[in-house]
Amino acid sequence: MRITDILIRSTLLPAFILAALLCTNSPAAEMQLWGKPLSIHGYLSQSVGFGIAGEHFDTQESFQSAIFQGLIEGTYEPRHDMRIFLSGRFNADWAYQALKDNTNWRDKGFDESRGKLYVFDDFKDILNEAHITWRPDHFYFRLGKQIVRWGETDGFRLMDQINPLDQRRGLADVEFETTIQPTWLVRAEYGVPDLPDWCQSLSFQVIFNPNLQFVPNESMKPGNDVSGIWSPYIEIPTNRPYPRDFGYMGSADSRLTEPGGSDGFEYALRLRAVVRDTVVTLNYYYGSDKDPVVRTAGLPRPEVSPYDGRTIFHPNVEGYYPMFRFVGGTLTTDIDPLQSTALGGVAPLLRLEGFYAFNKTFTWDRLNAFEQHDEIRWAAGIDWKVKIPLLNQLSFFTISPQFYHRKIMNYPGEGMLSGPGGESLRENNYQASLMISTGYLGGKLQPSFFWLRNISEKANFFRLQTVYDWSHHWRYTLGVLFFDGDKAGKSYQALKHKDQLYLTISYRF
Amino acid sequence: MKTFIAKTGSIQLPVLGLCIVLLFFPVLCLSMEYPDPLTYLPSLADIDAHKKMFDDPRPWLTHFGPKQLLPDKMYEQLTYNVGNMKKQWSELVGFTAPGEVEKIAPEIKPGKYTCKDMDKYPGLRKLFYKDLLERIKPGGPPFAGSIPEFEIIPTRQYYWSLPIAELTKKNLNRARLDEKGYLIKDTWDGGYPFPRPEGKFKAQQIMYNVEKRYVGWGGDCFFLARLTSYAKSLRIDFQGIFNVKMLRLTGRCILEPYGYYDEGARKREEVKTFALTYISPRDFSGGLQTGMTYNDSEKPDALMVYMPWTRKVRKLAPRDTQDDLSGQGRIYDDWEGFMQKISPVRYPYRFELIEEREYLVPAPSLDGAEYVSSEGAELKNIRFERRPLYVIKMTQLDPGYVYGSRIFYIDKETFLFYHIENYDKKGRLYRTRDTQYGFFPDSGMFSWTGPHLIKDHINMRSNVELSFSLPSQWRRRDVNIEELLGAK
Repeated sequence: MRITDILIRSTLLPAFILAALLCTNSPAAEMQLWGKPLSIHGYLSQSVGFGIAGEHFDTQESFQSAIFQGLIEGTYEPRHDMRIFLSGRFNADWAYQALKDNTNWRDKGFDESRGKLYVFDDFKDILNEAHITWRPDHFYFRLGKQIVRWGETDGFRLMDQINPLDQRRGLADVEFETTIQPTWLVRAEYGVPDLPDWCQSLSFQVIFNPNLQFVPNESMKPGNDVSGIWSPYIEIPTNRPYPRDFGYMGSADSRLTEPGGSDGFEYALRLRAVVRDTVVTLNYYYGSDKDPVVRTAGLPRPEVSPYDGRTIFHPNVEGYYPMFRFVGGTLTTDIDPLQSTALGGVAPLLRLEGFYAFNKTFTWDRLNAFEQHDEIRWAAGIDWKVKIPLLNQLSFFTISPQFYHRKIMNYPGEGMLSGPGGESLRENNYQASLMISTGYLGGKLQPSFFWLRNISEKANFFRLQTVYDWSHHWRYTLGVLFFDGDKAGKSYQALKHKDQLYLTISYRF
Repeated sequence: MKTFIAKTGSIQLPVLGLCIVLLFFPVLCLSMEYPDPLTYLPSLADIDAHKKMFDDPRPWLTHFGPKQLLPDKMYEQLTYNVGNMKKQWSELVGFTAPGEVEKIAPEIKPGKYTCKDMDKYPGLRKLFYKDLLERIKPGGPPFAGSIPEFEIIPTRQYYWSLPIAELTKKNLNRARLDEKGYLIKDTWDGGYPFPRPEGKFKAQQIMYNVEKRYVGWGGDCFFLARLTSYAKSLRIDFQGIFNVKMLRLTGRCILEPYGYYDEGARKREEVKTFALTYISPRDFSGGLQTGMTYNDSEKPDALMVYMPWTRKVRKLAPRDTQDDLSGQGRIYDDWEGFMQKISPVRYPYRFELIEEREYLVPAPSLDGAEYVSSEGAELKNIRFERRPLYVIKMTQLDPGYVYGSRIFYIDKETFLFYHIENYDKKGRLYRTRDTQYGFFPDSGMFSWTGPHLIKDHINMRSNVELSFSLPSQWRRRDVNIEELLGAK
């Protein structure tokens, strides 16, 4: 065990718990530091996950995860136009400790991901956000490790390319801070003070990523030894008698080139306006894709699984993080004509988001080569609050359907393209989602249903969840995840053994 | 290939970004007539040091009010001759409250009482409206806000600030209602539109006075609230703190510029705007909501939220104003007690004046000595005052709206509402709100001080809110959600 591991595990966790206890007796830890306001908040969250898809190579039946998340964040205002924000987090999955002697767990190779997934102990993980914000007159400057989100859609990733994703905990019930990685950025905004009457608000945003540290997406990759219980399940047909009837796709032996120095600089521009209560943005992004494009560089490395004697094939790949450039925009407006008294009288809200990406790099399987194509991604979503008195007399149901389309231009006539991240793509790729939620007991009890459908790959992801806020400190969550799909190894079919029941108890302070 | 891509883009873009930044740097902000509120507003710790959420009887308004906190020059600008204000306002409404009371149970005299006196003095029961009567008892479940002892003080003459009276006088008889009793929008130009409500649409006229109210320094205000929510066992299950920056855009008369805030406000018919920032609890901390209301009765409010748990600014559906705000016992339309727009097309009401009589109500506080106890969540140091009231019933005509009817208890002299009863569509009492105002005699101004009581009678929850406010002149950027994004 490294010295840092010992330090982190022996001091950070008790520090979180101590901070929580100190902050328990007040609604917020609002205090003064050198006569200026300092507030401290945070949470401690413990989630337990149970595999309910049966016994398989890529999952652990019954108890399979015990994710602990701790976050402490402080805001200090040395001047009325300046804020300093610092947050640190601790994230561990106690299942690695609890199951370390479990034969199944070890034989499937989950224990080999312990170094990566037991405790997130890299400095970049411990220091979550750290930035200073200065708001002189009509300007807004923020320097430091921060999160910038542009997107209008939920679940589909279009505009939100500035910060890398974090899917190390898969699709488990985790806090927002465990799903996205803050990045060192310089952000400047200017709000135009004198506007024509037709324009209610106009602002410009410029973002520069000086590439102090290149951080890629932490996505769910094949290989129990790298992604643990969230490793996608992909069979490699070998058509021989057991144990050579098929093999498993394992973790890749990769040689990836990361953008270094000025090659990794990123720039983002946004113009945002509110016109007649419609919010419009125009966006431009120039940076690196946070997922690599890869191609085969040699024969896969075979390994016999102690679990069932089948072979795990570790692909031998090389690749890099290609450029990602797009122009796009978003639009959010009401659709007043669809307002219906019978449904509660609330007009739906339309959210549109789309971009055109130039010279995006893909891997063409036919020639095992990198190719550049333009692509279009757009999504439309509606948020509609409707009354269903039979199910809830007092509160509305929020119904949010979304549709997503990704089109690759000049798609080759033969073979398939894979995008950064290794996802196989067709010329046209369609997805849709549906979120339904409501509130009972004055909003304290919030059941929800989420369905994500990959139309092109005929795969589904379902989540049913109920959140109960016992108080502003304590929150309980109970939920279940289901995955299925028609096409082996594609989309959510590769997660079909990941069905999970989870319970989370979190304490906020 | 990588080299090629780097050469094509990385040189031009920094230059472009730099140009944009430099282009706008020299632009200076608009000069301000008043000091930046952030230079004199107290911190949360200061506020907490002068009045704790619980068990704190200190009369904080006497030593931590506008007189002590505002810059001297600004305070001078906001104070007027009290005699003149009393005279002007009584001329406008046509009476003074002391002359309108003591017609019911005149034997009940000013003095100190306890809940045990309710049987001893039967007249007391006649002077309280039902909800308040039920609260005269020792504290205990299921609701907060019981009042075990209280004081009855003599009825005072209240008045609005001199500029409000003058603007009301200037526009007297200008505001007109259409044939259905709805305000013809171009006929109101500031002030209370109907200081002497009368005639066929008297109830509507009263409610327009409520809608165009000048509570909270005429709508140019900083407001901070500490909210405690109780489950039916009186277990505290929510504690939150938020502040609101309020900017009035039309009918301005307390702080300059008078009339319209700017040309945009006039052309876009904007009435007022606000920005609400949550300070705690953690899940809400850094959360923002902004709103803009319009004079056009058919145009819904424009609402935006910033959700720190997703780091996204989202536009809200403009009629999405009816869902409970996270167990706080109120909906957007209940902010300030009543934020709903009176409209012939958007959730219209039938208006009835169902009573016009005196009641004992919580007297607007001059010292802020009222407080909430930690044991039993009782309201203490409550002083009641006989006030002449209108009782208005508004019956909702749109079956899609969350409330079937609303009943308001409105002061005849000031048009302040003390108590609101909201009934669901089945006629069940759903939510009530009781507002504790503060009165600043030198300014002729009412604002919210608390403790306010908000109850959800169906989900059996109650909320007590303690608030603090000061006049403040905000700029548009101060209430623009994009420019407000805080720590997260």
